[in-house]
Amino acid sequence: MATINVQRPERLTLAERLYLPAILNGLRLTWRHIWGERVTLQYPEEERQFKRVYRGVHRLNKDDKGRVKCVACEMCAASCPAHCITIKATEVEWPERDKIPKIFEIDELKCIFCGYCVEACPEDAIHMTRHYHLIARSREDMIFGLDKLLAIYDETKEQEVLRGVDFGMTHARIPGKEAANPDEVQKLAYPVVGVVTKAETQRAQ
Amino acid sequence: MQGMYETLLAALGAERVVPFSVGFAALVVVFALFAAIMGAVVALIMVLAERKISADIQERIGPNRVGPMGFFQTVADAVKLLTKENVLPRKADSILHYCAPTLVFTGGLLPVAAIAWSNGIVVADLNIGVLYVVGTASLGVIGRLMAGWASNNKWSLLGGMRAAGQMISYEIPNSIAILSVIVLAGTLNLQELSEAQKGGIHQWFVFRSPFAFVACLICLVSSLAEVNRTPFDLPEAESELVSGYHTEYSGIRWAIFMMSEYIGMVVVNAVAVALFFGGWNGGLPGEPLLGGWIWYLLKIAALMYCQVWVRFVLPRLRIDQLMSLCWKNLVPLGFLALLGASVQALLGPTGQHVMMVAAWLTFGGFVTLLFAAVLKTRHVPAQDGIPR
Repeated sequence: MATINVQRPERLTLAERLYLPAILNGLRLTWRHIWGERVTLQYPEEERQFKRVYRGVHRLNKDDKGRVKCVACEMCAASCPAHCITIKATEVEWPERDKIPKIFEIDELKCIFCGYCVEACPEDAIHMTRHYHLIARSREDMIFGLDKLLAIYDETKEQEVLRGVDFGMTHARIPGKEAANPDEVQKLAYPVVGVVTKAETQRAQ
Repeated sequence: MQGMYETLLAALGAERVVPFSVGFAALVVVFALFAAIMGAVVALIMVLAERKISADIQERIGPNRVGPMGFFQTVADAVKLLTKENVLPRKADSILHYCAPTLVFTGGLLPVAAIAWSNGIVVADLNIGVLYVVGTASLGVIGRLMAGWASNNKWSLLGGMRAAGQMISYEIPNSIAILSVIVLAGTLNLQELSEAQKGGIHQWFVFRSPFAFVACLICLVSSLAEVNRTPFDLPEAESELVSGYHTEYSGIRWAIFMMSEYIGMVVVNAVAVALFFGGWNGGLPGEPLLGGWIWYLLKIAALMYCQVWVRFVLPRLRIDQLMSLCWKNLVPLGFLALLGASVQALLGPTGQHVMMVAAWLTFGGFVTLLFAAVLKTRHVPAQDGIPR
């Protein structure tokens, strides 16, 4: 017959059995919290400040001539686990490329916001912004087309957003950007949603 | 000292404005209305206060949309509750179901009559004031039992039974604790009790004798249990009994239960203030500044704050823990306090001084040990490394 030795917890001390020290400690803890900083965010007036690598609504980037940067290679559509990207290409007679998308649609309702499309893009043409207000009146309206995705780019042009380098895509051709430092890549490999406290926001302003 | 009631009645009678009986009836109605409105106002303020304090402790903001600082939130809630449907469960005892909240509310309001708000402001200046308050304050338990029984719901019935058991058990340490102050003061009249604590903060019974201090702690704990507040909110334990005896109540009838709970809080704290914390006296010798009722209300508010605060510190007790705390700890401790207070009351001035010094030293030593224990138990990491 097997014997199981059970480690019994030590007997409580008198102070622990009295509960009073524990209660006083509890009161002390809550008292500190009464004077602590409030964590509530007054949503419509205040907005959450996300880290740069937040995966929000997609945007389609434009090149320096203001044209769509995408070359319709369909790498993003292929890598998409939710199959939410639809691309129809059309030929163009431009010196640097011969294909651009005629239709580029992302079904934001199907999208799982994994960021694989950003990782897959060899041209760094698709980014994910920090916009998270996804509002539409119908399911059809939630399918974002070329116009909408380019318009989001215009809106968020100044924003530092999730790029291919964040996934270690050092080959992505980003004008003016150095190939990413491996340490930095490691640090950003897991896009963390962080909250910036109100005080920090005020300090930044 | 003549109560407000008698004074008004005498004035009306002397002027022969109305016949005595009509004046009497009118006064009764006026005071009853006053008490009911006070109850509603107290509930309105307390609901908001409770939500704000809980928000403070949890580092939130709390209600802040309706009116300045969310001040009218409870008004909005009250309007909602007034317009809500009163649901009566099928096969429920409709008469009992209807009467129960009224009875609970009455039981909550009756003790208010005897409370001495200030020097001369008291509705009924009873010479058995404390006895009356203790007696009527526990009347509400009948209503709670009725509500639980009439709802035709097992959870409600369990809640009602728990309310009854808890109330009756905690009456005993509460009464013993009150008795030890009565022994020291030699009066049951709430007005005279306040009078006896005149002359500065050191004259308050809680500081006058360590026995009264212990009695005060017992009284505060058991009064928390009597108004069914956390950690003693077993009658309405939402994780076990849905909502206890008022599970099947909605709309204004539910609101009446809630209001009586808050009035009960005011009453038990008013009694505690009258007995231990100097009643309507300010902390300084001489007449209270700004009128006694302000001091009285401030002290009640401070105790109410503590009651709400404790709610967000302590988890709910199990029913056996509740009973063992009462019968094995509070009752013996209460008897010790009563014994000490009685001996103190019997001794002459010299003996009293010697006894006080010895008792305060013992008590101080105990408190020191307690705080040493508090400091020792700080930040003990659990075995899995997650801080407790």
